[in-house]
This record gives sequence, C-alpha cells and structure tokens, in this order.
Amino acid sequence: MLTLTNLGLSYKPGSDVLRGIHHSFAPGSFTFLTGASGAGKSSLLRLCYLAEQPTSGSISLFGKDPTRLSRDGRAKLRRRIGVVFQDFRLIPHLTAVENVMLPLLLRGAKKKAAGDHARHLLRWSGALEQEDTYPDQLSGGQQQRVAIARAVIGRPSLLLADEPTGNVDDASAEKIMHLFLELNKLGTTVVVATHNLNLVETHKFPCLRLSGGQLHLVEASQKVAA
Amino acid sequence: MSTTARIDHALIRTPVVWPLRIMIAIIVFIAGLGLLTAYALTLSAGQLDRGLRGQLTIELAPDENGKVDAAQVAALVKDVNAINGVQKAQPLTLEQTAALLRPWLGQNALDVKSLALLPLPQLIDVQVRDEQVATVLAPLLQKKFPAATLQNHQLLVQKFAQQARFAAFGLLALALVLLVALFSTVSFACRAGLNVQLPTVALLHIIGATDGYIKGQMQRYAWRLVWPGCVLGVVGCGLASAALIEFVISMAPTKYTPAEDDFWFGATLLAVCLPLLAWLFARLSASLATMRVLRAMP
Repeated sequence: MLTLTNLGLSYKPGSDVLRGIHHSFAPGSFTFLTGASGAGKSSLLRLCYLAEQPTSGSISLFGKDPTRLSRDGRAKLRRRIGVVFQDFRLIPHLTAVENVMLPLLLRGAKKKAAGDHARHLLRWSGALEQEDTYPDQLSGGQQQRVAIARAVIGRPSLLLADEPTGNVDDASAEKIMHLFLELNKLGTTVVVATHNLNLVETHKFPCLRLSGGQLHLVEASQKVAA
Repeated sequence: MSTTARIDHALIRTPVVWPLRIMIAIIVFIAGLGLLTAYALTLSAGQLDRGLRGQLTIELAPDENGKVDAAQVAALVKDVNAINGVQKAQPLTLEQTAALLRPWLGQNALDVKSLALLPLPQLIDVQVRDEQVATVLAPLLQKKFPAATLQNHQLLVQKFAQQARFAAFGLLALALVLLVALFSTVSFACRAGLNVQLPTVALLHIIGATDGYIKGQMQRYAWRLVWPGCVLGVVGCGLASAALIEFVISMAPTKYTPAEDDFWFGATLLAVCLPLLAWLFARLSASLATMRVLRAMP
C-alpha cells in the first residue's frame, strides 16, 4: 500500500526534518502517527500524499514509484489518496456540497451525478443540512465533516489525516474518529496524525511516534507517554 | 442546491478585474485603430498608385505676353503621340484646367472666360502604356520644346506610397507593441490571480487535479478577464472606424480614395480577428503563467 524506504527530508542543509524512515503501511490498516509539535508529522504526510519530494530515500505508493511517473500520472495516483487537514482547507466561495463534489468534477464526472454522490456522503458524515452553506458559516466540526466527505468521495484506498481533530471539540473529535473507523472497516487504509492522546488511548491501533526525525513504533503500554 | 457554472471556477476572480478590463479595452481600442489606420493607408496608397498609373502631364509655359502658342501645342501633341508606348496625348481644355484649380480657388472664384485672361501654362495629359516613356519624353521636350516641363506623377505617387507604407508599418509596430502589452497584462493578472489563489491551487493539486485542469481553469479566468475589455475595445474601435470612414470617404470621394466597401471589409475582418487574437493571447499567457507556478509543485 504505502512503503517508506530510508526516507529523509531536509529544508536546509544539515538540518534534517526526517531521516532514515522505514515503514510499510499494510492495506486496510489503521495507524496513529504521533510526535511533538514540529517533529515532522505533517512533513511525513506531505511526502505520503506527494505534495513534497523526499531529499533521500523513496516512497512506494500502491506498488508504484511516483518519481517514475509523469506529472499527470502522479495526479492520478493522488486521486487514490484522501487527505484531511487540521485547517479543513475548504474552498471559501464554494458551498459545502460544491466542495465535496470537486474531486469528482476534476475527474470529469457529470455535475448531477457528482452532486448526488456528494449529498450522499454529506448525509453519511452528518453535514447534509449544511449542504448549501459556505464554509465560513460552518462550525469547526461541521467543516471537518465536509472536508472528510470531500476526502472520501473519490473512494480512496488510503486516507491521510493531519491533526483532523485539532480544531474541533471532543464530541466532534469522537464523531470524526467514528467516520474514520467506518471507512477503515470498508477496507480503507487510514493514517491519522494526532496530538490527541485520548484518541490514541481509546482506539487500540498501532501507533508510530516521530522523534528526532525518526519513526518509532510505540508499544501499547507506552501510548500515554507518546 | 446551487451547482452553477462557478463551481468550475475553483480559482476565483481577483478584485482587480474591472480596472484590468478597462485597460484591456483601451489596449484593444488603440491597437484596433492603429491596425485599421494602417490598412486604410495601405489601401489609399494602392488606390492612388492605380489611379495615377500610366499618366503623365506636360506643362507648356506661356510666352512673355502670357499666351501659349496653339501651333506649338499642336506640334508637341503630335510629337508625343508619335512616341512608341504613348496611348494618347491631348491638351486640357480651359474647362478642365478650371476644374483642377477650383479646389484651391473656390467653386465660384473662376469662370472659363476669366481663366482665359490669366497667364496659365497649357497642360497636356499624356496616357502611356509603358512607364519608360518618360525617359524618352523628357529629352525630347528639352530638345524641341524648351518651354515645356514634364510632370511625372509616378514619382510623386511612389513617394507618397512609400511614406504611407512607412506610416502603416509604424502603426503595425505600435499595434504589435500594444498586443505584447495585452499579453503582459493578462499574464500579470493570471500570475497575480494564481498567487492569491495559491492555497486553492495547492489543494486542487493535492486532491488530484492534473496540470491541464488547473491550466484550463486559469485559461477560463483569463478569458473572463479579457472578453469584456475586448468587446468594449472592438465596439469603440468600430464606432471610431465608422466615423473615420464617414469623414474620409463620404466627405470627399474621388477616384483616388478607396471604396467604402474595402474599408468596411478591413473593419469587419479586424472585428473578427481582434477577439480571436485576444482569446489566443489569453489562453497562451494564462497557460504560460500557470505552468510556471505548477512546475514548482511536485
């Protein structure tokens, strides 16, 4: 599914954000990614959804080496990844349903079909009532539900969530986690980068901790410390 | 639910759109007017060239009494008609001479009777089949009719045509510079728009938009920016052209001024070509500006 081999990233010489990262995410797995602020969680996820290129090492995504693909090939590979951001990144001048439709429209889907599918997912994520609402009129939790609907509308095989509960209250965070669990049950590989130790504690999934630019598997007994 | 066409414009318009549209309208207006004037000048030069081709005029000066010797005129006409390549040589009547002078002296300033009292040269119109006749005629006049001088219209026409074409080239160059300015304006607007919308571009990139999709969006944005300005410019140019055509042609039609239809043909062609050119420029500049930004993304 997603294999990281000796992965390294640095923005300036001599200062590695990530180094020597080896890990393979199995299909259908659910993994938490933790670490202190600035540890490189977002950077690692950015590498995984091909928004950045590693300084060293390689990534294998769905059995393919993205560096060997054309730009269009990489774009098509990205369509198999759903991404959820802490700051939601909804397009402000589009309504909730239009935001959710967007990934389908850029694949050439018909507006009617895309709209129907988007509404179906908004119902699933619990944001259907806000379908015609613009993002700035939605609460953090509502925006995140719309963002999750957008992330999954293309039926991604891999869902990467970067601090998805960082800007929402605890009740919303639990609902968001519930959505991720449902997706995981349907076979989607889920990677959630989070600070929220309650979530990590509550859900018994493997937890990776980024520290000193390196990735460590956290044992169940160490999760609280992570 | 409002899934209108604007959903295709995930990259929204920037707030500087209208001032830019006005600027584009001015650029299109000046470029269009420049191109049309260049076309009109070229047309006029060609028309004058055709109108005066194969025409020479001989001026026989009056003697000290202010009279022109009719026998000398007849002899000159006979000699000129005998030259190979001359189609016809004939002296102008007093009425024809008066018609030539009226534009300068006024419609009622002269009548034929009073003209006969003036010490005017006798004009002889020479129609030639071969332009080289002038080289034979000039020495003949010098030798046999020293009071006669040859007016070669072709030289004058050539000079005028040359100047007209030079001016037309100047106007074409101006139009080109303006079109480059249009290109730069659209390119600048697209780059500014892209910079403002960079987070949206990055998001589209992440959710799987191909470069072609983002480029297409920016091309549509550029076209939305350009077409109102282009329409305003073309309409303005059309109105100015109509006024120009009305003034130049209708006020003083002569056999040397181009036909009104020819002018309108050029104006119509321009009205079709300018928006096409603007569309092409909008697409190209948007495409270049977008690809420059996208290339920085992996």
